[in-house]
Amino acid sequence: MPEYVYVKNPLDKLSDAIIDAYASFMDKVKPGWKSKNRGRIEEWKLMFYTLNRSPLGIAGAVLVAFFIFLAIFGPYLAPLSYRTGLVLCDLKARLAPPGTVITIPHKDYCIRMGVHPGKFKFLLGSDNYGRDLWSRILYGARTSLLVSILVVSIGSGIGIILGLISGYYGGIVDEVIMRITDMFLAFPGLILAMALSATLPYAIQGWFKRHMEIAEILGYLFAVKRIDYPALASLLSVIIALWAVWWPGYTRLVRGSALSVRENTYVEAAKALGVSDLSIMLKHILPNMIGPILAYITMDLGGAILTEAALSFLGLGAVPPLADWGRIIYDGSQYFPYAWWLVAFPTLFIFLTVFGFNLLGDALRDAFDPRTRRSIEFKVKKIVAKEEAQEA
Amino acid sequence: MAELKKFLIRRLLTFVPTLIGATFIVFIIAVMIPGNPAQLWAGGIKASKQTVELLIKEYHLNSPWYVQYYYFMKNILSGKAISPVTNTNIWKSITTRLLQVTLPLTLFSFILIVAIGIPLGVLSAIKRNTWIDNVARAFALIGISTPIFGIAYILIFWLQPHGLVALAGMPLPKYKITGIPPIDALLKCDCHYLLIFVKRMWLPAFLLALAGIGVITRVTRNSFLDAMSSEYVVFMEARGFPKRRIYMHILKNSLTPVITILGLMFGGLLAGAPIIETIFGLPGLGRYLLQAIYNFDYLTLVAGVFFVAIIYITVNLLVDILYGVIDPRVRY
Repeated sequence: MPEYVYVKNPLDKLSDAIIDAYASFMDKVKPGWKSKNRGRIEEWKLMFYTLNRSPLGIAGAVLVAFFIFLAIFGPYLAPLSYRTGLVLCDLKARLAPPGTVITIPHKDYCIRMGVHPGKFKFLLGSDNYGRDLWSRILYGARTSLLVSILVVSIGSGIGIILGLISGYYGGIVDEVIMRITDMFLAFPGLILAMALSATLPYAIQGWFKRHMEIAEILGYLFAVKRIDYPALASLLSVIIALWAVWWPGYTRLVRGSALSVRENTYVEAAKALGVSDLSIMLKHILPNMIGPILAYITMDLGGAILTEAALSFLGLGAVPPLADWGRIIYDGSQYFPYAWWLVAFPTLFIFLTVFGFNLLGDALRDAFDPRTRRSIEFKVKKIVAKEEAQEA
Repeated sequence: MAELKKFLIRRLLTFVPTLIGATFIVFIIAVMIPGNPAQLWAGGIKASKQTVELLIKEYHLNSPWYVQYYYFMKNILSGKAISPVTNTNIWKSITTRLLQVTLPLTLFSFILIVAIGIPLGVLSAIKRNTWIDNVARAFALIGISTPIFGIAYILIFWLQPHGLVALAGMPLPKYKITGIPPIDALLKCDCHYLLIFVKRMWLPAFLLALAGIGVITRVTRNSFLDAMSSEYVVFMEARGFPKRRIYMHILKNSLTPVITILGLMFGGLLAGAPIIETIFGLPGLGRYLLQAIYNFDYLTLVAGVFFVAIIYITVNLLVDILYGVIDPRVRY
């Protein structure tokens, strides 16, 4: 009788190792976890096999990993700070094309700014203040990643909670929540975000003065110098503005799936056993619809980066000294036909990042879909004779 | 038909509260602005006391916000509201910008989305897992992830020397029938104006449509594939129907989700307009609202949101009615 055996490539083995390590870790924390969740571990491994067999998904994962690397280590790798303008050291530094090498003289002014005398190369060119574009792009990666993570995590969190409540309880609760959601969906989100991010900074600046520690935490996260802390109010207002826009979509999505999952027999059984509403929602309904939502969140991270850059491009996001991809394009567009690098490179970086998130999200949706997972299972498995199977 | 009537009544009952709620949200945001709006409107610190007091009296700024809201909505709905910053009639300036620039732009890109997105999605589904499919899917993803504000400059730089795009001014025809220039030109068969219009608008409309094309291609592809695995397709194939006829049946069955998304997208296009209008220098509603935000002219802003919300809710209502036309199984 023939038997099945998995044909694994190196990536599969790597993902197996990661999942096994996680499983044994959980087993140590909670004894018996591994044997209890054997099916779940098997399913996770299959999910990774699916992901490993989609070249576009791997490309997306690589792009995303590269972006996250830039965002975490970028500010330390950057040759200059985001606000160091070299134009007063050397006039050639103004709007220098990519690859320009300038000589920094031994002047007090330059040394005080933290530049060593000698030669300096603008890898991707410089802007009108003589700031290094490559450094600013590295700092901008941090800004983009943090804004998108903060926006999507809190925004989707609010949306998922409201959607779950609305879909689970139904009736009057559902009606009230969905009408409020409809109000937010009734006009385009970007206009609301524009209005909010234009009016909030004044309130937030006053708030910063009273609570210095918040500005300090944010300044540390965004790798911003102390002198630019007031400018952080603009970033925080963009984040708050996008929260207000982000949740309604998730509420609709989650409510729809919650309505259908709620009808399952196991939910009824849990209710009959007297399980509390909260734990039914979190333990029985949410895990059964989380797959598509996670894929959606991954794609949304890219969408948040794009929206934030768009707001900054309109002059409503990050304010000048801060490094932000959208803002670099906005400032650079004034010098456009000549200083093409100020528009082209940030555009390229935004595109690659968002493209990576979209590719990964697309592949994740396939991996979370049980139908594609099953069809992949047969591709991974190979029929072999019994003796060979035992050897393997 | 009785069902449709009931449905329409129910929807119209929620229409007004939703509209009020939407303007309300923006109004509350606007009122949150600290400081003295009258002082800002009158020209900053140097403004004379008399002018400020006049403005406060005119716009009821010392009253509680709900009183302000009431007077403001009354003014807008009667078409008499005057913007304190630009000193023009809000109703008039918004409707002319909306009808002359933003609506043609949005409709143009909407047509592009439908004309490119749906065929691409269908093609991609029919030629599943071939290079055509891969190219179409890659194009869709690229469309979704391109920052239009960056790519616009690069495309202008590339196309302008060849005379393929016009960037200055907004040509208007001399006659006026509906108030929407390209539709007027179509009614009058004025090819000359249409050509000018297309030359000015094709790039902005295409860039505005880019993300939408991507989304619609993907949705069409997925729902077409779903419909293709139905049993009636197998039956039709076995019965020997020509391919084209089978595809027409599948297409009709797979359009419901596509139309939902298209309806939701219309508002998104109106919202995306500020970026495109800023880059291409089109004097449209989006840019006007952006200017209003910069000037703290929140009366114009709320009025603009009011108009956009009306369009948005109406389009979605039409979509819900369309469901029944496409899919007779739908019950309202």
